[in-house]
Amino acid sequence: MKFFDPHGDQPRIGLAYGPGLIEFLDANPGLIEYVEMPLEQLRHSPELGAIQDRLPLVLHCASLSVAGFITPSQQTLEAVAREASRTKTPWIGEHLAFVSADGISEEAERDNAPTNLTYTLCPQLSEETVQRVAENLAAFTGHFDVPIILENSPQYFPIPGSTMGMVDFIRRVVEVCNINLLLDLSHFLITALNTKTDAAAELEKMPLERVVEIHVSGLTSQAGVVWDDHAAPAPPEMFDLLKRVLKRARPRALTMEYNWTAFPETLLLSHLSETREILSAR
Amino acid sequence: MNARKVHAILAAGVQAPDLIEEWHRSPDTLRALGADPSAFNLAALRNFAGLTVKVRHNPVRQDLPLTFRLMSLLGIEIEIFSSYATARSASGKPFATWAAQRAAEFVAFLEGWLDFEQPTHRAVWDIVRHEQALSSLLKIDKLNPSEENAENQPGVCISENDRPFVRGAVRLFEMAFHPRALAALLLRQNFDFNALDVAPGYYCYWRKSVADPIQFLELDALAFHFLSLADGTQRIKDVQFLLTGSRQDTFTFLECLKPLIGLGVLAVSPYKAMNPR
Repeated sequence: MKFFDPHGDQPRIGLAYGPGLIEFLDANPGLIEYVEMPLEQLRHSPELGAIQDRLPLVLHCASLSVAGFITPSQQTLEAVAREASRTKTPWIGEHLAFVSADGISEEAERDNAPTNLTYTLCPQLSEETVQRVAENLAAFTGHFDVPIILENSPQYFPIPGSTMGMVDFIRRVVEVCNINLLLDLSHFLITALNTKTDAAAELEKMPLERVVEIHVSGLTSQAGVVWDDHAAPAPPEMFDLLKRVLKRARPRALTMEYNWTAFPETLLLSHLSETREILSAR
Repeated sequence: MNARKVHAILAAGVQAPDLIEEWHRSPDTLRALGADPSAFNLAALRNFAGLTVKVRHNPVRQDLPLTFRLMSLLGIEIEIFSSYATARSASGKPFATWAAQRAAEFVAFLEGWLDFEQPTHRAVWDIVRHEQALSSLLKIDKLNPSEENAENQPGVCISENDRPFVRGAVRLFEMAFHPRALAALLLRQNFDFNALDVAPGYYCYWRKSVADPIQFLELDALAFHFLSLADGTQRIKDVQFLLTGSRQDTFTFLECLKPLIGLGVLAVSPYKAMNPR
């Protein structure tokens, strides 16, 4: 089995798991250095662990509901710990978001039944949420052998009750929780575009020295909103932002989240090449 | 509004998008939950629910990659999936567990949702049927032995009383665009829908046997409709009557069928056969 060594001189370049990955690895040996695997997918299809015979795995997680008010079940925590230990992932990348919340129907309130989603939601950006993130992370202490790093959410619309912007929210979480970050550049750009802020200026305010991993993927503008899109190539602005990030950040890994690609493979290869050049030039 | 309450409302809307419609129609229902309706961008929340349903359909992309690409390039993917999310939520039917069934249900929704007066929507309908035809024919692992083993009959003398049937499996579609041209356009880096010519045509996706590859046939109207009626139960002269309203000039009609028999997609069983299949 191959394991990720986080102590190399250069950041590693990886691909997020998706259909076609094995064929891509066969056709392009040595091009990527690890595979980022959704923990939920690994739980559902344990045979995917065989990829680790070829390349190290880095776990990505969407189950811990770090910014939520419903704590994950003991079973979920144990599953995350088990996979983290088995894969020897260097860290657990988790969303600074929530996937569970209180139910709102009378029956749900009476039965204390939460709403469980399959997709993470951007939380309210407030001091109340910051404190909740801190409580949740404290509750996870001792469960996992490796650190959690938190990924910025994309913001598609104003979250009611928010009292701060996304960057201030992230800064407060880092300050209160003393935690490292997974900077999703696509999410970052999406948030800037949807909240009509200047992405480059916002990036200057980010605690980039905390960035351990970076995500790069595409986006799409539809129905008046910019959306995350792992089937679209990253726009040129993304690479400009990456150059800015690398002036201050020293990430250990960069994952191309191109896991539902229908665009030509030549484009993926050229983006991998461009990314490698940027990383080498820092 | 406290975070816990806000999260509960957002999650409820994403899980059951028909609730969002209800909140939009009757803001008091949102007030009853202790929320200020003016604080929620319900249109964006509805679209976000669509995004989550789109992501839940990622396994379907394996069979329909170009359909997803076209919907995205046309900028209608979120609109389609938010409508689908709302419709499914209102129906109370959960999404199918298996990707093939989930794809079939999505395609059925598309058929009702798309506006066939719009060329872009016609293109989506054409490419989704193209991909579904290829995917469904590829997945066939067994064909009726009598169909697979039927002898080719290019030189056979056919009679108006013979019963025609399709050899193997076919998918027949009338399309506004040539599906291969559409697929080629979608694989280019620079997509320009206006570069695509409207090319109405009749297309047949044919797999003669499980050992054969899929063949793509461009048909004329007569061949297309004849193949769609050639089920082995009706005589050629009955099909002719259904298509032309006449039983005259059978000779010319039979001549028109010979290319299909020559290709091997059409076979006939003699009149006296009780069950040609």
